[in-house]
Amino acid sequence: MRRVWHIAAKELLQARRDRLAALFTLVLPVIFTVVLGILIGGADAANSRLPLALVDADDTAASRQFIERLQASPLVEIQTAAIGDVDKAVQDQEVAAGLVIPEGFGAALDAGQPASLSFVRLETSNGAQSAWQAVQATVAELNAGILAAGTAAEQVSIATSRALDGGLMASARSLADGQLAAPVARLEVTSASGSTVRHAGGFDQSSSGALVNWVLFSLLTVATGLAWERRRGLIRRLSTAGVRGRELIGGKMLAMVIITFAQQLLLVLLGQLAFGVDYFRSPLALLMTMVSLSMFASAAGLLISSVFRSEQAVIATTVISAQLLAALGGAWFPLEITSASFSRAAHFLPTAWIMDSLHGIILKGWGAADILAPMGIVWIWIVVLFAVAVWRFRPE
Amino acid sequence: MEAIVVERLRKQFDPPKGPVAVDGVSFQIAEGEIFSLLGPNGAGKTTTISILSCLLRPDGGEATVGGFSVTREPEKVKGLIGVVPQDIALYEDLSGRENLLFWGRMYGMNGAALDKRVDEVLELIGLVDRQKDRVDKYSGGMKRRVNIGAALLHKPRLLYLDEPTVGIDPQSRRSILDGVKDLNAAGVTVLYTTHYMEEAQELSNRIGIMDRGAMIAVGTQDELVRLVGERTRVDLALDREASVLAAEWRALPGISTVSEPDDGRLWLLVEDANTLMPRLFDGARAAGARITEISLAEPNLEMVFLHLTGRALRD
Amino acid sequence: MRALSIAWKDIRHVYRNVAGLAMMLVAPLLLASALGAAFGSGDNFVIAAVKTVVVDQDAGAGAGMPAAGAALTGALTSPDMADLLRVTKAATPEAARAAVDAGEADVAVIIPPGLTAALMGDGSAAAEVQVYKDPALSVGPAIVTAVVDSVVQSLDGARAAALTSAQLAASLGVTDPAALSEVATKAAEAFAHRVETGAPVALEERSPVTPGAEAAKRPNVASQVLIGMMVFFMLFGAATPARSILDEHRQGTLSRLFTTPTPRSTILGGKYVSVFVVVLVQSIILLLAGWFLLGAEWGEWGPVIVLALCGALIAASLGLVTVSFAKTPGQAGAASAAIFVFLGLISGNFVGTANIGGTFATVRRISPLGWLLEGWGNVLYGGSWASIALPVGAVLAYALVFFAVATYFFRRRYA
Repeated sequence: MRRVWHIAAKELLQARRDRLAALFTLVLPVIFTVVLGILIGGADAANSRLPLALVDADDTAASRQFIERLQASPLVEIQTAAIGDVDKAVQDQEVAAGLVIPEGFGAALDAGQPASLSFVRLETSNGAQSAWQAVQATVAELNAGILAAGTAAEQVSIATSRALDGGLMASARSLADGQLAAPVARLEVTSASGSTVRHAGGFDQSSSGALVNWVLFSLLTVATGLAWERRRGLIRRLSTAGVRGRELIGGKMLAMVIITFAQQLLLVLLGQLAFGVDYFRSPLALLMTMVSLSMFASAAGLLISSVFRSEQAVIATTVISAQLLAALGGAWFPLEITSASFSRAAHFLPTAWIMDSLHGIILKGWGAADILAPMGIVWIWIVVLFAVAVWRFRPE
Repeated sequence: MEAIVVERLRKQFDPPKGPVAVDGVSFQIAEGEIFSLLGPNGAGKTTTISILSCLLRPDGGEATVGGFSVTREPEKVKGLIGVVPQDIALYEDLSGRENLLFWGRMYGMNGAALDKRVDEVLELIGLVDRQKDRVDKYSGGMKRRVNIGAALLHKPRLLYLDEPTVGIDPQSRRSILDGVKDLNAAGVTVLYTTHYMEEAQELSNRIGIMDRGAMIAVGTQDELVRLVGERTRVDLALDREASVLAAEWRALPGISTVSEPDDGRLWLLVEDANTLMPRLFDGARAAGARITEISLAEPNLEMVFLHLTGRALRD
Repeated sequence: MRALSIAWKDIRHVYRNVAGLAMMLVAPLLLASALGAAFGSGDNFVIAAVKTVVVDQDAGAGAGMPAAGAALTGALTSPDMADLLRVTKAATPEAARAAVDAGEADVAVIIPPGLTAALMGDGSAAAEVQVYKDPALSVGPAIVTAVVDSVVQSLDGARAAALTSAQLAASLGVTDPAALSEVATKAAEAFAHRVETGAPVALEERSPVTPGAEAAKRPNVASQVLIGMMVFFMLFGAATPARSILDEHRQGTLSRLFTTPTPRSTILGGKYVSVFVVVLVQSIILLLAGWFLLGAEWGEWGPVIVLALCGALIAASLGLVTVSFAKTPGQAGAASAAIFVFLGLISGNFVGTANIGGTFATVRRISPLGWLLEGWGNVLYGGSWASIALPVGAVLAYALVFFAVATYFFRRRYA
């Protein structure tokens, strides 16, 4: 056991002297988190709205009324645009989405004809999804008003044999608007976190994905380190000195766990203190998750370098593995937007369980008891990876 | 004309506090000569050869190769020289032939002329049968041979060999030394660095002895040996550890140098062997030791180094 | 000529390296296939059915009267929604919330007891339908919220229609309560019917029309997913041959090259050519494989070729500049991986990035990958030469700068 500590201490000393490694382990993730937090986290603030480019090609009372309704929405901020600019603004992602009120909109409504609005969006955009909901809600309100007034006027016209004229319609409209202004049936959206996450893909969700991503990079560091030592004959020398494979793997793993835990701690503190991500809702659960993530990444990296000999093969395999684990585990995009079978398959990997746990802690207040099951699965992986790494390890 | 002229060459790494690897070194190498730079590890041999290869820029002094300055006309210098580095510098995933073809192209050779020359070099280094195998499948000796062959493709006027026999078996070493002599016989000027005295003695027309960045002596072997004067070398073997006796003998008049004992073996430089030998036997008897072997020989380069520096060549 | 010899030697080295090939070719195709499985092939993204639990506490207005709660539940369980929602029922609101908290359901819809009464009343009493969502999810709850909102609005709209008709009739002299009630009921029924048969205003969705395109084009799933992967993995494809500079330095062949008459600029140039060729071949293979195997539709071939060339240039320059900072291949591997992921994330490389417009769009353009993806986005959405002119110019400018920086550092190190 003592050798394990000595090896770990040596690794930590080397890490401390490697300035480039410190740059990419600590500085770059912090910079990235700050940038991500400012961009996305800022959008989660209570008074921020998604920019929506709007073209009013109709310019009638009806279109202007609709725009007024839309401006009352807390979810979107209207940016007036010219007809030729909307598509480019959406394409360039300067706005979350675009809305075009075509010419003839008001006339169609006045004539009782169907009218349509054109919502311009990029398919993969989560911001567009939120903007769609806001616009759809306003359209639904408009439709309700029109239909309520229309049907009321029609029925009254039939019942009273009064002509269905503009005057009747106007009266009906005024009464209907009054009724709809004070709805008796309302919708409230709540969640376990106590507040709704207003924008899909908010910083709460992005920061945990970024955290997992950066830790998975340690796969590369730990794996290439072992490959480099093997090439220099250092592993052989350790072996001739009586150091066992499990001691060497254990020592390297311990060092890498410490380094990546420190990395995570830095990012977690940054997220919590600077951007209000509620990591410390359940400190024990967070600690368990962070330790598990570090151990998994280290064990995976050591396994790869035990199996593959050449540095090239190690680098290639760790890069591929890290990206696959991140992508399939939900660190790049939430698994909820994937198919059911994919999501089930992804939960074969430990990263999916780690992401679930982080989300549970941040957003749902999961405690240590709640994450025992997911972490149990992660730990099975850790034990298996470590065992295979030791079994496959060769000094030459 | 002199093939290489070096005047007060100086090189310091990481100035101002870093080590001075070459400190005011001067020497000349004549056309067609084999010149060895002899010295222990860290003497500055490789740094000197790196400067003459135009890999490093000197901090002071001047050096010309074939009349061209290493600092002002490096491309012309490189066209004249072939460099065999100390470590194997080959592409391990390419075959022996592919390596030679590549390096030939780097020397500006092409086409059929290059193919023909590669065939000649493969013949010269004795690897015709294995030319299509990847270098990572070669033995150490074979890699060394390709390492040398790559420097010969363009028929250089000068060949630098930087400790080419380190870590190889005696047979391969023999082959390299014979190869160097053959090349020299064909007109190639050779600059050879080594810390093996025997190699320097066997190969060289002239030898430069370096130590701690300085050139401490230059000349033919006879000239260098004469530096130790009319002295005789006495090789002794004692029946026990000899460091106490060695210290006593150093103090005796007429004994100019005593080597560090290696177990019971040591050698001495004495002015008059006939007079001193009885005193050596007396000294051994007084110390309770017995001289089991004794022989007389001419002084060699190792003794020259020890005489000049007070340290053994292999310290 | 010597530069080409060096380039050819390096290229052969790359293609003899199985591990490097795996990273350059196998990995992106594997990942793209996995993502294709994640999002479904074909033209549309496919997501899992949203697990919804419903609690209907609404007693209704009386025998024979339609209950609002039942209407809402019926909307959620209708055959139209079967692909989108998987609905179960819970006995109490607490049980429903607990199911969401435990992860057994994504959303709970809690219909209050007095919903119908409120709708049938005089407007003094209100009822609130609650949607209780898993805070870790966004798309699923958004779908359920939209459906519930739509029904709630319809119910309230029907109420408004009824009350409006009654008020309007009363204002026109109708005083008989039975007559008022009848006109109100008919108004409500007519409202419900009109909601189903066609709303006055429809909201239609379309993709943006790229400049130069005749109409909006909607790229299929494979194209959208694969392009980000391809651009990202091209960076790693460039880093692998770029690292050969460090490998050569370590094995002594770089110094040996410097002892030959071949100028250093030629040596470096040869290496640059090899990196560019390797990554260009990689991108061509990925484009062809994506088109052939995954049905990706890239767009017009002229702009596609130009973008592929630009991608190879920027990838080569990024690979070389990251390697120029490092001293060992391991350092270079770590540095390049971190930089590439950083650039990828701020460029919006990965599906699911929150597009919130404004600052994010600006930040994207700080990264050369952001420009490259913008160009690819324009082409995927049907654009042509005009739509890629600015992105291509930006990418080329970046590549030039990175090549210059890499050259500076290499020359300084190997002077």
